[in-house]
Amino acid sequence: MSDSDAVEILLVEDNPADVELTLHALGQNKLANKIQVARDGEEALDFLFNRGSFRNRKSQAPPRMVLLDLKLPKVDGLAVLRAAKGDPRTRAIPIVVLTSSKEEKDMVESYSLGVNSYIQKPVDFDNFRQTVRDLGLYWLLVNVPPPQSAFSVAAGDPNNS
Amino acid sequence: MTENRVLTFPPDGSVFRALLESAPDAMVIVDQQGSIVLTNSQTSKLFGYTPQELLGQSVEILMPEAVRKQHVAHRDAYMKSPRTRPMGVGMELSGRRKDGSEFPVEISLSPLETPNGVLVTSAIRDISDRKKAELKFRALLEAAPDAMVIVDQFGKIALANAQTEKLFGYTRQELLGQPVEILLPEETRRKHTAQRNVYNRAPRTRPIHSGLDLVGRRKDGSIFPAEISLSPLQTSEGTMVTSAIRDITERKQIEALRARHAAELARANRELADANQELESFTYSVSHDLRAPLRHIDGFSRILLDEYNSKLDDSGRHYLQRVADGARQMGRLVDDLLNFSRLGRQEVKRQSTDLTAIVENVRVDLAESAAGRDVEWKVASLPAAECDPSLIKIVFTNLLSNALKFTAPRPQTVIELGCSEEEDQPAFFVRDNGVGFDTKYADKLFGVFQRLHRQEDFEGTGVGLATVQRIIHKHGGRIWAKSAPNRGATFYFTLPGKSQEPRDTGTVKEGIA
Repeated sequence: MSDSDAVEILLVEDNPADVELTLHALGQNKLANKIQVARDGEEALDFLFNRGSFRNRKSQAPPRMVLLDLKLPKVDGLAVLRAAKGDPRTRAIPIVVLTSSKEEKDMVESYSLGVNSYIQKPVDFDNFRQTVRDLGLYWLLVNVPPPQSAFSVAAGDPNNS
Repeated sequence: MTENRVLTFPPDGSVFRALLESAPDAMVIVDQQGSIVLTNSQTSKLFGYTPQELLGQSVEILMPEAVRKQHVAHRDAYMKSPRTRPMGVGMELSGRRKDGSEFPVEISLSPLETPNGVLVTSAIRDISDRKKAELKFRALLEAAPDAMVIVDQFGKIALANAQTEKLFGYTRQELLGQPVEILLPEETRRKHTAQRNVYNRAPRTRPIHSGLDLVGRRKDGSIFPAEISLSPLQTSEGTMVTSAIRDITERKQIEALRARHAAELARANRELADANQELESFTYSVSHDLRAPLRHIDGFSRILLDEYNSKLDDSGRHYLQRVADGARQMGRLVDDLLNFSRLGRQEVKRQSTDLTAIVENVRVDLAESAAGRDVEWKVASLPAAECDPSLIKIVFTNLLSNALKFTAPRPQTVIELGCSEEEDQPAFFVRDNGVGFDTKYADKLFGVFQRLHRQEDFEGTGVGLATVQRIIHKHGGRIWAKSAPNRGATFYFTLPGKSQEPRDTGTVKEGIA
């Protein structure tokens, strides 16, 4: 239980109403215990790479999943995705894009950057709630998380020479 | 020594006569007094006199009366120092036949020493044909649409046509013998002289439109853009150069106008691209930013309904439900509008498409919405069409779901799909036995957000048929509908292009196997 304070979900979302609705949906499914909210891309990257205001956070374990909005202040979601998937320390973290956008270029770029899932936020709250629930259950309970060794350079990064 | 040789011929002069007869020209031998002593048969043929008629006559009998007197003087001068003068050297003369008619001749002269003194042999050639050819050449020159200037090897103008006079404002007399540079602006003359010398060393044909654009100068000093072609002309007086000069002022103006139009078009295109770019970012932010508050409205009213249900009375719940419904409806509108605008930007990728298969796919997709209903599908085999399959699928999805939607009140639904001949072209149709519509509103049918039915009767955003029409128009086709209230509706559309016969059953069997 050394990781009792480890964050399970990193929610990257700038809109407070969306944050509230997402947390509400996660909470209804008892998934809201260990959620870290990042309000822009920079904060998200600081958290993922344990730097900035997260330099001294207790557990430096990676989150079990990242829920990532695309339209974000400072550093946008695609840039966060690029940075996280381009670094061996964070590449294995499952990242789910959860966005209003269904623009083809956003989808193409997200997938080419290695996103694990791409979800368009449904307008209908029932659908939204169901979607968030499915996401939480799948990535936190069904999916087998990457082992610790997947988060180090030693794990063998073909691009890291 | 000469005598020795002469003596070898028969003394009757038969050899000499034979020689004379074999000459191609009329040969006339004249004594020092100008009397004809001998002629050949060519002479008789050319002038119409018998040899007897000519013998002893003054040679001037063969000339036009006007020059006879003058010729006597010439002849006397020649006799004083007779020398050989070959044909065609500055001797443009005329002959006169027995019948009085005159014709151009060329004459060569050579002295002939005889025991009886010096005689003069003249060879006379009829050059009528050549003169005619020359006249033709001049006529051709005059008829040419361009100014034609022939320049000799020294750069002097040897010939110019009427167009040249018109174009440059000089008379021919003013031009003949002048350096061709007279037709150029002063500042380019020196350079042209140099270029001309280069050209003369290796003259070759340079057609008009070969980038040889120059500036011409009129007599009054005004200048104009000209296009010039050059071709060498071999003459007895050496290599000359024929040049055709065309005033291209008008063309230059048109070119300038075209360039201006092209620039304007390019600017308009840039503006259009900018506008498109703006539209793109607009729809992007609509898609992202407009949907967010809708989600929030729906989300929070849903939470209220779920978790604070007991604290609300029926009216409160009703109003809250209305809030949530409104948000969802607007969500659908935004989505449909976005899809519609995306469609406007989408390129049509035509390929030979099996429409029957597409219709089958659409029917499977729509099966759920038709569940529990008595629907009779009458689907004919459709011909393959040159179209964008993904777009045409949207067309059939909209038309078939409309057909299902507007037949919902019917106990039995009949939807018919086929291809018929309408106004001489094949048209696809979708027919239903639904509620139909009043054709006086037909013009509203395909407009964005236009609806012919109340929301509470039939749900919809009013984008479906606008989308269908946009796709058909993008294919160059037409769409129209026939209906009457409660009598069903038929939608027709055409897809111009290579339309093929329906696949025969053999092909289908192969596909199944």
